Amino acid sequence: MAIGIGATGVLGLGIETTRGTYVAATKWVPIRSESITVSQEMNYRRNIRGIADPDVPQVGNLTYEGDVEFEAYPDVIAYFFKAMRTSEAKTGSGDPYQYIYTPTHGALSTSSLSFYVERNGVRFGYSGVSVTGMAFTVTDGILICTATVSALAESLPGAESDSYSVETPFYTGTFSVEIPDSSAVTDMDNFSWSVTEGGSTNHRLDGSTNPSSITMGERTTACSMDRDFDARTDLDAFEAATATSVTIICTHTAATRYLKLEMPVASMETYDVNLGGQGDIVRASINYTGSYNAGTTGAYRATVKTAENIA
Amino acid sequence: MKLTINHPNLSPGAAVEVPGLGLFANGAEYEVDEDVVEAAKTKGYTFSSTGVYGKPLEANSKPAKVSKKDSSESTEVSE
Repeated sequence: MAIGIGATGVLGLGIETTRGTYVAATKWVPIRSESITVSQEMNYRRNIRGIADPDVPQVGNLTYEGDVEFEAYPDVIAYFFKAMRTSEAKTGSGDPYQYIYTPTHGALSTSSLSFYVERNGVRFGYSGVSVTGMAFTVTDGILICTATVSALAESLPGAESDSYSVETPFYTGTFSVEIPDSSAVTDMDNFSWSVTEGGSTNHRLDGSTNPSSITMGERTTACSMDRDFDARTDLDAFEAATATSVTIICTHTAATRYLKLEMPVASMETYDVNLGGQGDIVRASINYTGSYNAGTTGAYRATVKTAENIA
Repeated sequence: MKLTINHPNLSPGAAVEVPGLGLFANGAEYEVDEDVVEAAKTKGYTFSSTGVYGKPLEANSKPAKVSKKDSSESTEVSE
């Protein structure tokens, strides 16, 4: 086998009809990296029989999980929201389609994906993929998404061939942050926004070493940012535990490519303002945590507009 | 090499990139010169053995047939 580099790798995904039943990729994702690994619960056996070494382990339970990091293309992120614990409302009959994702509260992701991954020309097929978390941040001016995923199984798929939509990620100049909602603030240079679903990979005595389910647990929605500090208003609100709302809007191509991340009830978890040094701008470092909101039936809502027609 | 570019999740005419061969409009068939394909293969690119990217076109559709001679050129669909 020839030595290979990551550049030749590919990742494609498909929406499964039946959770855990592999489907060929219908969407190819330009990724920055992926770290999906399999781990085995090794049972090194320590029997007392005159030796200090373990006996050879038997096969143990397998867990498939990792992160996929990619530029937040509007046509791609909708697939990842769909495979999280969300309800999807789709409107539109042509470009752009609009997808609104609101949180649900059950044990399972609403949809599941199959992942086709090639590493140095070697194929991997992950089935039953659930997205247990998504995080967005701005890196070098580009909106980057990191999706945390877990799978039910992995096996060798047939060869598939990649092809890509021509899309543009969200970039500096396309971002607007509103605190509270509808009130744009312009004193920050970055943000991070995340949802973690408290994912859990569960094994059962069902004759298989693969997980029997991937469940979601407590959801946490968070947002953090650094802002120029010039008034006590937010600090006072923090000390009074007064919630606000946070909305991040990313849009280009005449609003036909669009992502809106809403936290309707955002409480400041921390609010730090310090004198870091003579030349440092005085800034406030703020972490928000989202709480349940009846209007969005959850702590967040995500809206995506894209040319992608997701079945 | 006969290529079929037909992604149901994309609108007809949307640009689709096949790495090594360039851009194609969605929803059509193409004839790509074998020397272009072979040149791409020598650079390490691999292609669908069936030539289908997405799903096969339906039998009653009328695909555009465009000869692609250079992997650097974009392809416009003509009906």
